[in-house]
Amino acid sequence: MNLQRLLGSAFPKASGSWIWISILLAALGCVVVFFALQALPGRARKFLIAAVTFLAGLFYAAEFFLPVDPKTDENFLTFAVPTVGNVINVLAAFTLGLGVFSLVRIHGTKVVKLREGWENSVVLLLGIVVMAVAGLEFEDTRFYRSLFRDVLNSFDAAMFATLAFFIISAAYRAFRVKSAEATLLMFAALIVMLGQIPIGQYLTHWLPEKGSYASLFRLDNISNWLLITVNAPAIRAIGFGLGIGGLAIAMRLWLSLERGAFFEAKADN
Amino acid sequence: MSNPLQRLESIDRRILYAVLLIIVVVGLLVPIPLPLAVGPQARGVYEAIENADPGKIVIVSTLWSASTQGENSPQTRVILQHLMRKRLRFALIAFGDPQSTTLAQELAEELARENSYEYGKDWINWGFRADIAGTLKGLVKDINETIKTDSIKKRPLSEYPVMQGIHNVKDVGVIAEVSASGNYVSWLGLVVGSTNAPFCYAPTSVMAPELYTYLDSGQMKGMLFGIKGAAEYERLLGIRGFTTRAITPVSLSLVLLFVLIGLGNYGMYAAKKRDQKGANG
Repeated sequence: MNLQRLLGSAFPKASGSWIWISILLAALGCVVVFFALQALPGRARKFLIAAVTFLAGLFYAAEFFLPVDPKTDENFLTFAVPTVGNVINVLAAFTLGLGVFSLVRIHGTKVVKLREGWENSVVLLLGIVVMAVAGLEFEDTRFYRSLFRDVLNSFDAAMFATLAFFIISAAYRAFRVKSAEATLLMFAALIVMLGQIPIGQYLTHWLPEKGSYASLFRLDNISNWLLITVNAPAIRAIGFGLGIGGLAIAMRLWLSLERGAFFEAKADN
Repeated sequence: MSNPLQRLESIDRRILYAVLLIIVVVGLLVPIPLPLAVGPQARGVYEAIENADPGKIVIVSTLWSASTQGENSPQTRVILQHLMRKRLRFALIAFGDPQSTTLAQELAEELARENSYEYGKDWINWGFRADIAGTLKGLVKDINETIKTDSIKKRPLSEYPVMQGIHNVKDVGVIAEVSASGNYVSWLGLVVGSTNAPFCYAPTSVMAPELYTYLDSGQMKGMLFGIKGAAEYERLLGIRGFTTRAITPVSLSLVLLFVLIGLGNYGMYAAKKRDQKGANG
């Protein structure tokens, strides 16, 4: 808890006008760091970013692996978990801003240079501005609710609903019995789907639900058996593979070994 | 391709779209009363909420937008209906898509009016969080410090009666996530091991098959399999709502799919037979 006290005294909780002064100082600090990074030579910048990445990643690893006090179930880093979580939320929110900036830059350029399809870009940019203004300034008004519920929600739902049409068309063309494997796959899929819908369940609803050998032939029970006994181990195997792959990628990112990392090209020059 | 049977192999997609549209509209207008078996997955969610400790809070996490509201909205609705029927206090939290918090809140407000649930006393909205992992790690240690303020009145959580005695995930009775994404990995990896609260999941149908491994291991106590899961839940609650009606067009669409797959294969078989005849003769 000494670390907590030390940090608490170094950064006391701000209140009143001190909050704004703290925000201003933090913003100024960010600007200074940004320009300092720009002024650094490529290799030094890469080293600095790798060091910060490592330290940031080290926090959760250390907090997880270091032994805890059995009385409190905490170690000396645990107190900082909520704060670090909030910091990550702020960083993640910045990425939303980055996405908007990127959209505006790409589509703004398209409109200014009147490239093909610039009319669509105008609609997109207008949509962003109108929705942002409505959300920020008129959140409790009918105008915003109408934009959100009647326009955005409807468009979003309609876009996704069209998938049903494509799925029907794609399944009709793709599910062809051309080999033993394809036949097996098709019948398994048919049983699973039939077992999930009332019409399919109706075909064998006269059989007992459980407690008898006859229940094994109910379509919903066969469907459940396929999902639990056949599908689950396959998914588990894929999950193991993905987990190991994810761990390897996480280690590479944490240790800045990933090729093509930001600034790497500049650092090598 | 002169033989009409062989044409079954390549039906114009516009015909397929039109038939599907008709089937969905007719299915919504004329529901077919068919029996729906309640699977162990939906029963698992029901029992988790039914047996929840009333002294604890239930977390309803949402990660969906209007695009998947056809499935995720009824799932959220039935879970909230059950919570309100049991008079359990609950907290909404949203990840992934900022739309999620508004859509879930609208549902909660509608049901709260019907069930005399008071905001701040019986339920609360913790709002949208951009980062999943950091937030979940924080919830394990200290909910008030991680969430800080609610998303409607922007007041500190500790001021609300609904948050009395709630400090971290050990004070949570059930965790239910309604999602269009694979967020369950974060909940299972970062939260579920730190609490005795059962974890239930309500994904879209396309995602459901990958979750059976966690149901099998017992890490997930129950699951609502898309809209069908929501319809099963309505049956458990004794309600005949929109979901029960909506299951008819879902059923009919799948029947259409089976018929089309059959026709396509028959057309392929007919074409192959004609080619063989041509080669022989």
